[in-house]
Amino acid sequence: MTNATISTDGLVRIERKKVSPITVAPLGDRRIDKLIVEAVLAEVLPTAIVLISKSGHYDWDARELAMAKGSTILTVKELYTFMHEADLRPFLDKNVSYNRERLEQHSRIVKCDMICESSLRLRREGSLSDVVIAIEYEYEFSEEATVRAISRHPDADIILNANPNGRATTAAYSHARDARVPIYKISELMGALNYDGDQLRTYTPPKRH
Amino acid sequence: MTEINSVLTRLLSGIEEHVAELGDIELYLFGSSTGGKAFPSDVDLLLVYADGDLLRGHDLAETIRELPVGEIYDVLVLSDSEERELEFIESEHAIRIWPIAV
Repeated sequence: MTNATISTDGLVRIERKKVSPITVAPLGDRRIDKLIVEAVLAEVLPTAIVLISKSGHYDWDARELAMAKGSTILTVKELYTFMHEADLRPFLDKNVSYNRERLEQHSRIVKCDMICESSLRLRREGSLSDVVIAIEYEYEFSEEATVRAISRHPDADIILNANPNGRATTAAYSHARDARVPIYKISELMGALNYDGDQLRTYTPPKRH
Repeated sequence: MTEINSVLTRLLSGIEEHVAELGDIELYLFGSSTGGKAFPSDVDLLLVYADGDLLRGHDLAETIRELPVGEIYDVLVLSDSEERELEFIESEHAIRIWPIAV
């Protein structure tokens, strides 16, 4: 980024090194849904609508609507991460996109529907129930991180800690067990998804010999 | 210490209305935030609360995370017990910024 200016239509114009400038519409809303996207795009067409609130969300169908109209929605982190891309509109947080791809490859998963920028619903084959996954990224997964994840994603069945080197504290596991929302790493989740009910929530991978 | 003091000054001005609520909560800087940059882009902050005071720790952390100031605060929140379990302060060479050492 080389410069940023606010234009008369309220958009922020960002000049970038070696790639063409972009315009963004920063929004302070806690959740960006389709109605908000329609309201913004009726007035202006930014390269991206940017979710400023760190604890906020954008609905996935709102992002799809924005993309269909030639824009997109990004978090601040996504904007920073993909600032160097000529067209940054289709990009998604790497921790989310990587794990979504892994989950889509699971033999029991029929469909993987994004709900927001960091949660998705897995539709599974046969009689296995749908599962909602909240994706977080923490090196130290504390009890407070568990509270925050459940608060951010009240419909989540499982918290996926996308950090492969992450570790959860005893209190975090205890809180998650009481809330019946387990914390898994991706390798544990891939095993748990073969089961339902308590077996899904309390899955422990077999020990390697 | 000048850089750390400037981070603390900006942080405290951001949570001015909540300083009285800090009570026995401790705040530490760790990671690249302690590396000497006057204006680090991300500030890694550890908040340690007394066992049983989870919601107060959570609420204060959320206030800090959403501060509309220059820095982006990555706040790790641990209870006293969790901090002892992880030995985080020692292993990360975290620097206490609140309460201010006298």
